[in-house]
Amino acid sequence: MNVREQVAKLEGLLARVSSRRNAPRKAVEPEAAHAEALAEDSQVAPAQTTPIEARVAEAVVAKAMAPVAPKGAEPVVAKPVAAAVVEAKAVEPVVAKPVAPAPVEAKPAAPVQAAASAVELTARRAEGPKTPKPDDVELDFGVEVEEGVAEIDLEGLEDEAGISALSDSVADLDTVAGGDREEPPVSSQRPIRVEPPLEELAFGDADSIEAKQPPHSTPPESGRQAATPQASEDFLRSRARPAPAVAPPPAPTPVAPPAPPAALAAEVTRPVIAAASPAVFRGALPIPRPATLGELLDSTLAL
Amino acid sequence: MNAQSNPGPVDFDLSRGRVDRRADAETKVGHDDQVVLVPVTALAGLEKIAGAAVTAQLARSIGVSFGSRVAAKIGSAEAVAKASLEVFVSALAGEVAVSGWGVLHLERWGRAMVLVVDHAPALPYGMLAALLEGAVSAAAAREVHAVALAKGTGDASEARAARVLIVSARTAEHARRWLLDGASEAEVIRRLHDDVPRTGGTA
Repeated sequence: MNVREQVAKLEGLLARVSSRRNAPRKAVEPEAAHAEALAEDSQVAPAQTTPIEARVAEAVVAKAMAPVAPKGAEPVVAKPVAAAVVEAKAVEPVVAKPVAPAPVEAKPAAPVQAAASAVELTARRAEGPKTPKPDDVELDFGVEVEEGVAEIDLEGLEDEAGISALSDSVADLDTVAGGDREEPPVSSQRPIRVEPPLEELAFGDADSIEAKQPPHSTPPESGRQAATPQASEDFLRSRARPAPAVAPPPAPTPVAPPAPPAALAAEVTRPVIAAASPAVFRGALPIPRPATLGELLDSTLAL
Repeated sequence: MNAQSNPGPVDFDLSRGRVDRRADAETKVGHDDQVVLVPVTALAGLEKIAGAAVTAQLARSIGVSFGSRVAAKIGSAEAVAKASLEVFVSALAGEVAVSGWGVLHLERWGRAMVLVVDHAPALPYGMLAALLEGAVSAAAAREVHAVALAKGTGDASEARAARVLIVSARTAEHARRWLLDGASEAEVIRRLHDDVPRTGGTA
């Protein structure tokens, strides 16, 4: 039986208890009241009683039937409520964990609302007869669940015996509730070490950075999310091939000053060539060049 | 073409059906010569009919007329012999060009004198050589012999030049024999300048 089923049952019990609490109270004989209660209980949900509930009920009845010494030193006869499975502790705050995984604290007098899924338990002293007999004690447990907050009214528990009995029942319920929950794996039980942000690692000033940026941001709404330009640029930058590293133009290196002359230096001796022409032309080339037609005719006819 | 090379106009008198070679109008020398226009094909056929010697004699007579006009233009045969090459060539080239025999210029290969005619009419080179032989002989009043250094016929449409060697009669005989033996123009001229003994020729 999971938590939901238990909550559903508790809601059913709450409805029944509320109806009974609103009903006008009347003094009935203990035997008649007991018989009536048994009959009513048998009509309500005789078949829905679980073994655990039965044990709780038996424990409550056993504790109630035992002679107790309440404040008023009056014997209280507990009226067993068959399906009233509650956890309550009249004196000590009880950590209840039947419904929600979060722990629930129950205060005896004032309702405690711990969280949205917490169960508020309230123990009320039942307005029973002033001089009850041992068989005349009536335990009235009221459980109200509103928006995840279960309020349990314990009426008629004004003695330590009943409260201790209920404590045992609560312990059983704790066992039952705890049985449904699985212990977290060992890996999840290890302490989580929050790593310092990169900014802190880089700059060492984590306080100022955390003060500027909240640790968590609200999750985005469901649906299609439009990427911001910065995100798109980051995406493209991550997808794009990294540009080849272009080496910056080399800066003009300063010309190193000439090294000091070494101790050994070559001495160059160049030849001196005279400007005089090595060739001498003498005379003229004998070229027959007749000046007139007669001379040409003489030369050609001499051939 | 300078003034001395002006060959004078050709007068076509259609009323009388006469064509005259006028004397040089500027120098007022020379005389008018009556001419007839003869088709080139007629001259070419004459060689086939009458033979090369007759055709060469005809061409030589035409050249004498050219030389006579040059000598008359320059002044006399002695003047022509003393005239510069440019003056002589210019005067003779004018006469040749007006008569339709092509463009004349002179080349001197060593001591040899070579007259070159470009755009010569389609006539045998021998006929052209005879024409120039007559022209130079008449102009200079000296006996010269001309030998065509190339075989074949001229073609006015082509730029092929006809070279004519001006030499003595004995040397012309040697050159003609060398050309018949297959010597080229340059080879004939080179042999003329060698001192090797020339066999087969008449001194």
